[in-house]
Amino acid sequence: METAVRSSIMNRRYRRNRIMMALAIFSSALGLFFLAVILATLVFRGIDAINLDVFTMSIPAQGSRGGLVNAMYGTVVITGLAMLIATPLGILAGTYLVEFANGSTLAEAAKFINDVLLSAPSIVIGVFIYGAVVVPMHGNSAIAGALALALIALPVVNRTTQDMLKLVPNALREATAALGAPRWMSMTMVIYRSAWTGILTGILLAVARISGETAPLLFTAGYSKFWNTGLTGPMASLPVAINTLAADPGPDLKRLAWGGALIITVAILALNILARSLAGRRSS
Amino acid sequence: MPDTETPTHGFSLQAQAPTFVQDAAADRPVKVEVKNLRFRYQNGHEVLKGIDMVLRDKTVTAFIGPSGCGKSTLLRVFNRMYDLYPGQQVSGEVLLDGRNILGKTEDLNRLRSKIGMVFQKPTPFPMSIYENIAFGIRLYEKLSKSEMNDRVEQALRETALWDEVKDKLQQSGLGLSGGQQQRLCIARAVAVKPEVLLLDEPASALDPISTAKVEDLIIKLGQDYCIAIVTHNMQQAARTSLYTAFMYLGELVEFDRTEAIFTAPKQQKTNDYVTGRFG
Repeated sequence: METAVRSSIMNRRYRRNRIMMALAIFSSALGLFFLAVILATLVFRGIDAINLDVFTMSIPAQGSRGGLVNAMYGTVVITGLAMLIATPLGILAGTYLVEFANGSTLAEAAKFINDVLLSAPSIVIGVFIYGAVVVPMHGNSAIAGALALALIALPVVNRTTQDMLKLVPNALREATAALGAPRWMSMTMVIYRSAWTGILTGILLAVARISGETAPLLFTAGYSKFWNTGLTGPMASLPVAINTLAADPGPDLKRLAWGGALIITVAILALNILARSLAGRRSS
Repeated sequence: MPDTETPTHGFSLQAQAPTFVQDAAADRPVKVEVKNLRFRYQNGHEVLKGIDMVLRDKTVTAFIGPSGCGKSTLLRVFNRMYDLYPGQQVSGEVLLDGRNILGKTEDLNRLRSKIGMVFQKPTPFPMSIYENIAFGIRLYEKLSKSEMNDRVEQALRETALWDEVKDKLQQSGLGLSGGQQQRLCIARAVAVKPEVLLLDEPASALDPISTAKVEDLIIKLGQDYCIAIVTHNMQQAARTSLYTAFMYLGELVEFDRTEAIFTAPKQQKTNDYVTGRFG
């Protein structure tokens, strides 16, 4: 027989559970609702601008035909260059901090500073590169943009590498050492092999993060309407192009900005899904 | 616990009579000699308080004792595993074929090629079954493809794994069952032709059938290698080893033929432990 007290305690617990569950569902729905609104708006306003011209022609003047191909090219080149710098540095730094530093004071300080850099406002990094690279070079350049993005990606890759290496069980390091394998072989043949899907996921997320950055590119890579492959000159990128075109009073250019926003959102979404599926493969 | 009660764990003399490893021949030559070995962790805690013992060649020696008694630590001194971690201090001597291996100038990779180790949890590398074995061999030998194939097969046959994996050598070692993974790890250790094998509770994470297979393997390998095995399972020590060392709180309480340890221990502590009264 259930006593009255026990039954009232149970009922109160169920009631509380229902309330909390309702709140949790409501919060998730609210977040998803705004995400859906943003995506729907993007598709609705941007789909008109998507045509062959967008992928074949450079940014036009108001009233003439044109597209975004120079900005897309710029985003790919600047992001690629940034990752070329950030990936090896980030992986090597993360490896040192987890595998070789043995928790020294220097390593702990480096980890802390890396985490600070991880959350540094991207505009600050843009201003820093402006002072350090753009001013001495007397002008905007793709290289300066790539350096700014590399500074944003570096702590992401570094941190992911640290986290993924920490997940590799110590038993695996001991087992490799017990065979008499030198340290570098243990790292390249066994430890990286266990962690590589995680590290790759981190790299993809870093790409997704920096390819949508606008602020650090405004004063560094700058903006150009023209097809420009020189790395030492200004180069357009999708985010900066969207920023510039959206502020233009011309309706054609505004529409083009919406198209650019749709393209970059879809591209980043695809990257994120790819990263997720890699991470999923890892856990299975 | 009253004397009449049958112990629920540990070794029982009332249970079926165990068959001890018998070695009609005289004792084999000493392979490893431990002299006044002391070991201290970074936090100052002394876990080995002056150990003296020997491991004989082509002989299985079991280490038993309650958790924290220092038996695993002792095993990890034999291949200098403790060197992976800073601040651990060791004193005394461990002689391998008469040569002290605790010196600062000891080549650890060379030492570990002679002294293999298998851990409690199976640790297959994230690569194919074939590569798991070949990895170790490649560290020390330059073999042609067909010679390597032979060596991999030989190691897998030696560990009775060949028939189970011969059709999937290129599949990941992580896809094997726990017991198969552990035998793969033993095969990997054996493949580099070590002189001493250290087994740190090699069967404690395995099911009874896999455990039996691993035990059979230990008995078989014991004819060719100097083996040291740490175990919490008394029957396992009794079944597999010729010698047993009973350790307690960092000291070697008793070291004798396994049969003597289990049937006529000289120390009260040993008797209490092997009959399951504590531990």
